[in-house]
Amino acid sequence: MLLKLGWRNLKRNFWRSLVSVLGIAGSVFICVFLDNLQTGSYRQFIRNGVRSASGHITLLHEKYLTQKETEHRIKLSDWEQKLKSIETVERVSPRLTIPALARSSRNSEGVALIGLRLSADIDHNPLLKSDFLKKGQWPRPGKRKDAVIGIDLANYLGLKIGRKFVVMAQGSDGDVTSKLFKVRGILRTGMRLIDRNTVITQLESAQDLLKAPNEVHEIAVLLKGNQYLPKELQRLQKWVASDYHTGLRAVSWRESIPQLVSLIQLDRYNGILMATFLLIIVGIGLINSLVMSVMERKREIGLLQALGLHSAAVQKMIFAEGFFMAIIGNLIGLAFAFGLSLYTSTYGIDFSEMIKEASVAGVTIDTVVYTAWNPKGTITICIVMTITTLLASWYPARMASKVQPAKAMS
Amino acid sequence: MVADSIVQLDQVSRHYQDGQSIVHAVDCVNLNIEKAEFAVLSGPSGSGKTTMLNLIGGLDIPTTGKIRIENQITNDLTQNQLTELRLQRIGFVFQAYNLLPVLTVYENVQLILQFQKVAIEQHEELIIPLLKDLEILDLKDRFPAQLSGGQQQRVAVARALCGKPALILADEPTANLDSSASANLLNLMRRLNLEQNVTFLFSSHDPDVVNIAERVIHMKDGKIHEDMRRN
Repeated sequence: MLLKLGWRNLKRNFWRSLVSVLGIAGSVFICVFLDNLQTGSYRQFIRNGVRSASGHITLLHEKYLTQKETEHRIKLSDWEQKLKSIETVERVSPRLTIPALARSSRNSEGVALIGLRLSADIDHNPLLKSDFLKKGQWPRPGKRKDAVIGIDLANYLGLKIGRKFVVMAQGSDGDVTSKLFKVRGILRTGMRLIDRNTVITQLESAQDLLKAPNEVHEIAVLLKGNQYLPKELQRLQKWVASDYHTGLRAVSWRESIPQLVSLIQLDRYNGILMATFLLIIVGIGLINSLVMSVMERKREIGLLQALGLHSAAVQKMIFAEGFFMAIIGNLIGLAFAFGLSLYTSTYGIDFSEMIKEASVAGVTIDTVVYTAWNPKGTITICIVMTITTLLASWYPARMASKVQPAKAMS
Repeated sequence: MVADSIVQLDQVSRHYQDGQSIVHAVDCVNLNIEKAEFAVLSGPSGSGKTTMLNLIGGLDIPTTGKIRIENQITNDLTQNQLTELRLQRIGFVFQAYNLLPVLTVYENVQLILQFQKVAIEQHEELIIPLLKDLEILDLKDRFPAQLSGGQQQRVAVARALCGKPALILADEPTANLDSSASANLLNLMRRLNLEQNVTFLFSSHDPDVVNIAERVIHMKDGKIHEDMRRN
């Protein structure tokens, strides 16, 4: 009966109840949708991060983790074959990243020369998207002079497709070494660092420059799914333990791209802070709505108490009203969040007009973001919203229970 | 203590602070209402009738004196115990705004049974005969706003009786009714008093109520001015 009373009291002042319910629904919608958007963008960040940089697991020299210096290399040995033999491994990408100087007849510029196993990387590395290649082609296997450079670097050095330039670096013996490259392709990624300061070439070409055959800075291991990470990380850590004296270590992407982890955490906290403010505003609105409702019904509440309704039951009745609003608000908010998330998970949201720099924390970001469901987040939001509504009902409920029947009915 | 008494007031006073002055709403009243009595508290406005009913019904607490309901002193009861006493032993009929507007006639009456935690299977067999007896069975699915004043008061009487109370307190029950509806309601309550031995205590200055009552307690300035029984 108390539930019935609570429900009918809500219907009685339809517009006021509707405004309160829409406040809850709006908050649930915003929180759930933004959570899905965050979840989707984080997945894309991580996917791009692991594909363009570290892989799910990276094998590297322990010092390379903190000091990205050329001399902290590891022997490729038979690791590539060994890693490929693991069932859950999708790709193995050995890499060299060399700080160098690129010189043309016109100018010189500091660059990072990235040596990749392009045949392995080309299909999945977001940095090597065909959209980014504005002119020319990717370096060919076996053609050790082929290089791709960023468009800003090309303009600065006055280079065009087919033109030659020299890259100078410190070789493995400590002497300055240089190598002639030919522009095979020109990239425009939207990332300043790539467009202005990067030269991409075949791994062997980079090894030639360093005079360090069979040596790399990192071996990025891309798994078939993030779910395999804990098990495979454990396995690789055991494997590299035997090579520990060489400084070889296996780390997860969380360790090798810590700036991405920090960025995600910071963004999560921002989201939680925003949601908290939203909840406070909705809570105040609900308190206002329920207090008004109690004030208007003082006589009825007094009558109920005169007839024998205990004050605890009066409180329950007001809590029931808050609970109903929470349930309806949650359902409406979820329905809208579900609908929009479903659409944006398929078609995405294009932020290209807003995003000028297409990298965050050194990781390529997609300008079209697709939402992804985060059931845990959705459930948490609904529970927190229901608790907020019940907390907001507490003061009006207490107020109602303090009504003096004789005074209220006089 | 009187054996057959249902209400006993012993030197009961209720004083209110009104600014600098003290209002003696009820002043040193001694009263004894016996079981199955049909009594009315009469008197002009401000004579203390409603305060007396509120004190007896446990809706208000006396400043001094003792109140006994069925030989239980109510002064010492907690709010929850008073609520329970009202629920189990006392029925109320108020002057107006008696019914909950969001509940139907049936649900308004059922409310008391719900509060008393009577098993739901018994509700219909308790409510339907009562509504039939009060000639409002055909209105059972209507909301209070769809009823006349007289019909609403009948529903209030049904609700008051439904919990099988020992005492019904009715505060100016005919104040908002026309003379015909008022007469019908009074006859109905008198019949229930005679047939079911329910004790009725009214507050009213309506001559019709005063005429039908078997005991008239006339109040003036918070005191009992005259206590008159009729055969």
